[in-house]
Amino acid sequence: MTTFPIQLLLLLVFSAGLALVVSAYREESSEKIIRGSLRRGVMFALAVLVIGGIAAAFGWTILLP
Amino acid sequence: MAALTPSLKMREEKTRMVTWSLLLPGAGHLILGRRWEALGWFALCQFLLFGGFVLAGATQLDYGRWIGFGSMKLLCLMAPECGNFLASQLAAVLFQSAENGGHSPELIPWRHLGHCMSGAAGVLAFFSAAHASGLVLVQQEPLPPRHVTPGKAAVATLLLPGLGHFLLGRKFKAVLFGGVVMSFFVLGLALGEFADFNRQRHPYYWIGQMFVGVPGWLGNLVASARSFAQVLPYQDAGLMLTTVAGLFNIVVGLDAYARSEQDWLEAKELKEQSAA
Repeated sequence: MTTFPIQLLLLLVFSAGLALVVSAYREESSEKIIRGSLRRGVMFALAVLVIGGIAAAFGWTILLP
Repeated sequence: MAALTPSLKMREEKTRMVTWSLLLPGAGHLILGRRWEALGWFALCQFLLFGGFVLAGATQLDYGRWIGFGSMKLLCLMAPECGNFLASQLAAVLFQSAENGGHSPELIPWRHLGHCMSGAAGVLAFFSAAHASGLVLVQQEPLPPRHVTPGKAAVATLLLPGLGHFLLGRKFKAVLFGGVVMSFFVLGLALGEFADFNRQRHPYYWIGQMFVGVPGWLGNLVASARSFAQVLPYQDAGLMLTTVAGLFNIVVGLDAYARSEQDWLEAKELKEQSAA
């Protein structure tokens, strides 16, 4: 059985990893990589949470059987 | 300093070498006059491919797809073996899967090693193309041998994620890239109880997982033999993480190649300026 806190933790871990790789690919200096990682990680995690939230809201309302 | 890029002529030559190398690993090196390197890449890739087919009873063909017209079969697409394109086509014609012959793949004791070998041959073929492409730069813009060539940086990434950047002196990036790829890979395996790296169970995920490189291939030999008694709660997340680790390693290899090429062109320009 999956739990929401662990799924959230996995999302944060994935967002951080993705943001680090994308930032390191695009930037050269360590300072820019760290700053870019924070921005990209937060943006990605928020986007996934918003899409997940919308999907959950539909599931609990109009898509409820 | 503004980013330097290879000339159009060099880029065309690189494309030609990549194409030849993907058709037959070593062909690009041979055209460039690197006979021993050509022989090395060719022998390594073909030994792994055909050795893998023999050990796995050619069950690799069960994960490929024939394309053609009607009943006429033209090409067999197997990933990642298709990186070694012509030899994988030859293997598809020469061999018949033991499973098609009525044998259960479970009875083939070395099948996991065979799949790992043939998959590694395909991945190595992709990196041989990067190596040959880097040699075009070496030949057209020669520098003293202490400089790391783009091809070597890319191949080093396959040996250990981040090693290419380490050789280029980019230690921060080496730790970052290597850390992310390896931690994703290990965390993903742990979520699947170190049993989720198996071509028979997850053939599509397995393609991405193989691009983790040598640490992944060694991990595959351990993980393939394991099995689980129940469906795990975070198994899907684990599969996704291990596959993404492999895909990230492709990005790391490309970055190592591009940064090395940039360093090379900058060093060449500095040398020419100081000579003038």
